[in-house]
Order: sequence, then structure tokens, then C-alpha cells
Amino acid sequence: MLPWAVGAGALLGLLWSSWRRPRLTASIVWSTTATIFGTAALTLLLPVSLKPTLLWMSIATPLIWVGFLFWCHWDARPYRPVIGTVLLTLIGIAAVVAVPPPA
Amino acid sequence: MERDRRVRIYDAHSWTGISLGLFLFVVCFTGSLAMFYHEIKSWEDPARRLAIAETPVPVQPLVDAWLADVPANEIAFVGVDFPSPYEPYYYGRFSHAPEDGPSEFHERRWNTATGEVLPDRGEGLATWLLDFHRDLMWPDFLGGRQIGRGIVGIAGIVMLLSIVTGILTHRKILKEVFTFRRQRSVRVKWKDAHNFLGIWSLPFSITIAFTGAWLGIVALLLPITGLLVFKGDSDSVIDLLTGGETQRAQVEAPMLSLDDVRARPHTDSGALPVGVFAINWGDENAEYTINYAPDTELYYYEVERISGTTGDSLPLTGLLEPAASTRVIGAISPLHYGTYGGIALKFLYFALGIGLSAMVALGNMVWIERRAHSAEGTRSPRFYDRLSRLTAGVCMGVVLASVAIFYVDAFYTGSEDARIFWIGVGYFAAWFAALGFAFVAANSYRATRYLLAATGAGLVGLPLVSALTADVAPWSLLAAGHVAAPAVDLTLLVLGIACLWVASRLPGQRGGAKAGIEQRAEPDAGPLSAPPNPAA
Repeated sequence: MLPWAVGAGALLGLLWSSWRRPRLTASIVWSTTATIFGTAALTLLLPVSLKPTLLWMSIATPLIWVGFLFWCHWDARPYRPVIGTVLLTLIGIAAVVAVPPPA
Repeated sequence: MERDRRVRIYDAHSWTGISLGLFLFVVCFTGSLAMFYHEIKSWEDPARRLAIAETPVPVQPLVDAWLADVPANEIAFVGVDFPSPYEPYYYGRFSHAPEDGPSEFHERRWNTATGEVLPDRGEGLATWLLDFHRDLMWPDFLGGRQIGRGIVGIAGIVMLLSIVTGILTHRKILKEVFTFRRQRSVRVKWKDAHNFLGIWSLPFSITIAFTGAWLGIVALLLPITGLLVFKGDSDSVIDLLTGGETQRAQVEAPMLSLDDVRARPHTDSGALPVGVFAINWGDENAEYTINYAPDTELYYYEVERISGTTGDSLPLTGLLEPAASTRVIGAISPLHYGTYGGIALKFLYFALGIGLSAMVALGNMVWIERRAHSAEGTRSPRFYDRLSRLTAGVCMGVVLASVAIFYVDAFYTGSEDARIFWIGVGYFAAWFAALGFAFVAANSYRATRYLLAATGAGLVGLPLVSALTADVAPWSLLAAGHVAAPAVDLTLLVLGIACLWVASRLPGQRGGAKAGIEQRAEPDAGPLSAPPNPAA
């Protein structure tokens, strides 16, 4: 029960801070999750050999992350980076769950 | 760029600076020293100043005698580094992994002329300087060094963001390349210096920030990504990255002599090995991974993999497999630590690293100054005064602490196992003392000046300490071809004199601020000042 309560509380806190401080929350939280799940999903989905993809993704990770951080401050509409990074996170999670691991 | 967007980008630049600038300073400054790991190690460790024998004794009997009491099937790996100018001895290490207990790591050094075991030397000064930069010596009870490495990697991400936002903030970037107004107010001078250092060191800053971010966060994120891809199967991740480890055949077999391996030139370059790493020791499936000096300096090692019993070549796998991605990854560390261009490049990296640190500190000081002495500040003067003292104490404190641990290491007489611990105690003691001094000094200007002077005095005294505590005189070392330790002494002396000179030139208080009369804030064309009206 306790882990669920903590999880629900954290999710509510994230939603509240995404509403109150969209750029800050997107910078600190959603850009990180979008980077992790986005690179994992790309590694799984790209139709090329797994090892070089994973290594090239690792090389690109700092640039992808900084790209998201920059977008959080560049975009004129404060909620667009939040929606974008949350959507990317969800798509990444869906891909990681749905696509079977490589043989 | 529209004004609202420029304000947002400027806010991102200034707030990342003021919230994480001190941390960035610490990472940049410690990194500038970490590059000289081998040189400082030669300064602190007498064994690194031995002469390499012209005809070294064979290493195989030394290793055999060392491993004699350990069952071969309990040896996880054996590594031997052959003598080099920086490490003029045989250095061996192995991991003993008994079935019914935890693994133990052992290491030993042998004199190349006599084969005698050299006295143990605990990790000390150089290791602290390198590892504090790499992972902040992050304690185990807070998650261990991997967490610290990730945190330092985040500093690289923050620096990349600061670079991008900084470039976009400055509309007159070409003009600022040559702008330094020495006769203007302290804020304008600091701002010009911040811009000047930032622009001139831009390629270096981007390189360091990207490679630092990769070295830090990928240690955390690559396993996470791998685990997500393989649904939590960590063995598959390890197999993918390492190529899978050959298992023991459980058939005893004599190992190919390490001395034969040492004489085995690289297939293409003809270079001789610098070290070797063995798995499945004493088994039919034993393997040697031999490290050679690289054919290009932008790479740590060339590697060959051979059977440990027959010497037959084996294919390279995992991260050793030649490919564009592994080549790029192999270049990241030399790019970050400046190991690809000799000592001259290291000094260039050092100068640029110190410039980068100064740029970060100056950015913070401009931010504080702008708010403390103009209508832009919304907090009390005391708040900005404390922030200014904190900046002086943290920045100058880490500089002073880095010098203080040279003394701790030189005069340390306790157990070698505890050497690194006491180095850490000395480091934080000096750092906190400097921080405390910054808060009790008359003002942050004076604190900076005195702390820099103390640093300079400390640096100037180090060659004397070195001469008093070293077993061999500097000229004897030079005659024996050991340049590193005397060169460190000379560099410390020059840096000390430079620090004392700069300290003598620094103001003891804010310019014109005598008897409580504050200098009037001087207007300057900041990045957010209104653009000229073309219609006017």
C-alpha cells in the first residue's frame, strides 16, 4: 500500500509542478525521462544492428538531453515542452514494454 | 531573436550559473589538476623515480611466486603493466575470487633491476585530485562512486546548456572577442573578462563539456538503457558490450610466458606491449588481452587478444571490436584529459581549464554585483554579501585545499591504507577553513585576496618541502632522466609566484567603496538592454 501511495503522491506532485512551473519541471524531470526512454525506444526500433545503435545512442545522449533542456526555454509556449517530453516518455515506455528484447 | 525569448534564454543562462556555478567551478578546477595525474604521482611516490633497468629481470617468475599460494581456478584476472617512464617498475594486480567468500584485490610492484618487491604506497595526492574530479569521492553510504560520476556528468550537461544559452544571449559576440575595458567599473571588467574567456575558449569548453558529460552520465545511463532494452537482463547487456567472457575449460594448462608476451610486437605498428590482462589463468581457455601504445594519440590503447596458452590470435569483441562507434568512444577520454599531444598540450589544457573556471566564477560575480549594486536586485544587501562571500570561499577554498593536500601527502607518516583518508580530511579541513575565513573577513574582495596569497605562499613553499622530504636531490633526478618530479616543483614555484603577484594586484575592497561610500553602479550594455531603434 505504502509504495502505491508514495507513487501516487509523486505523480500528483509532478502534475502539479508541471502545471505551476512547466519549464522548470520539464527541464529537471521530463527531459531526463524523455532522454532515457527515448534513446531506449530508438535503440529497439531502429532497424540496424543493436550494439552500434546502443553505442551511437550513448554518444548522442548528452546532445539529446541538452536539446530537450534547450527546447524547454526556447519554446514560446510554456506547456509545449512539457507535453512533448511527457509524450516522448510515454511513447518510449510503450516501445520498451511492447517490443520484445533482441535475441 | 524576439525579446521575450532572449530574456528566457538569458534567464536559463544566469540561473544555471548561479545555482550550479560553484559546482561547475569545482569540477572545472579539479579537472585542470587531474590532467597531471602521472606527473603529480611522480612527485609524491619515490618508486616512480627509480631508474628502469637496461636489462630488466624476467617478470614471469615474479608473478608465479606471487600467485603460488592461490588456486588458479580462484583467480578472476591477472594484470601486469610493463615498466614505462612514468611507472618504472613492473606493476601486477590480480583478483582472488574464492567460491565461499568475497573477492579480494591484490597489487604489487617489483624493481626491474633486482626483482625486489617495492614498498606499498597507498593511494594519495594524485588519486584524490583525479578521483575528486571524476566522482567527487562520493561515499558508499550515499550510493558509491558511480553516483558521484553521474553527478559530475550532469555538470557537463549543465555546461553544454550554459554554452548554448550563453552564445545566443550575446548579440555582439564578434565585438566581445576583442573587448576588455580595464578602466571601467569592476562589474564591466568582470563582464568583459567573462565574455572574453568564454568566447576564446569556446571550442575547448564544448569539447570538455561534451566529453565530460559522456564520461559521467553514460556510466549511469548506458546500463539503464541497456537494461530497458533487454527488459532487466543485465547479463545480456554485459555480453553485448564485452562480447561475452570465455568460460574456463577446467583443464589445467601452462600459461604463455609474460616475458614472451612482452616481446611480442603489435601486428601492424610493431610497437611493444605496455601491459597485459589475463583471464582464466592457468586454464586451457586462458586469454591475454595485450595493450599497445596506440598508432594515433587520440586513443588510449591498441589491443590484441591472444590465447593465453598457445599465443594464437583471437578476434576482438565487444567494445574492443574495431568500429566507428568504438573508435569515437575510445577518443573521448584522451580528448577530455588532453593526453594526445604531450606535455605542451596538457599545459594548454591547464590554462584553458583555469580560464574556464575563472569564467564560471566571474559569471557568478557579475550576477551578484549587478543585483547588489543596482535596482535589479530584489533581495537585501546582506543576502548578496553572503552570496559573494560564499562564492569567494568555495572557489578560493578549493584552490587552497588542492595546495594543502600536497603538504598532507608530503608529511604523512601513518598507515598507507589510510593515506587517502587523511588526504581527504586535509582537503575538506582547508576548504572549510577558507570558507569560514571568507565569512569573517572584512569583505569578499579581501577574502579572495588573502586566500589567493595563502595559496601562492603554499605553492612557493612546496619545492622546499619536496627538497627536504625527497630521498634524491632534484639534480640527481634530472641526471637520471626523471624530469616529471622536478618539473612539478618548478611549475608549483612559478604558479606560486604568479598567485602572489595577482594577489598583490587585487583590490582589498570594492573600487571607491571607502568609509561606507558605495561606488555608483555604472550602466553597461548588458545582453538584455534594449536594442537600438533603427528608426531613431
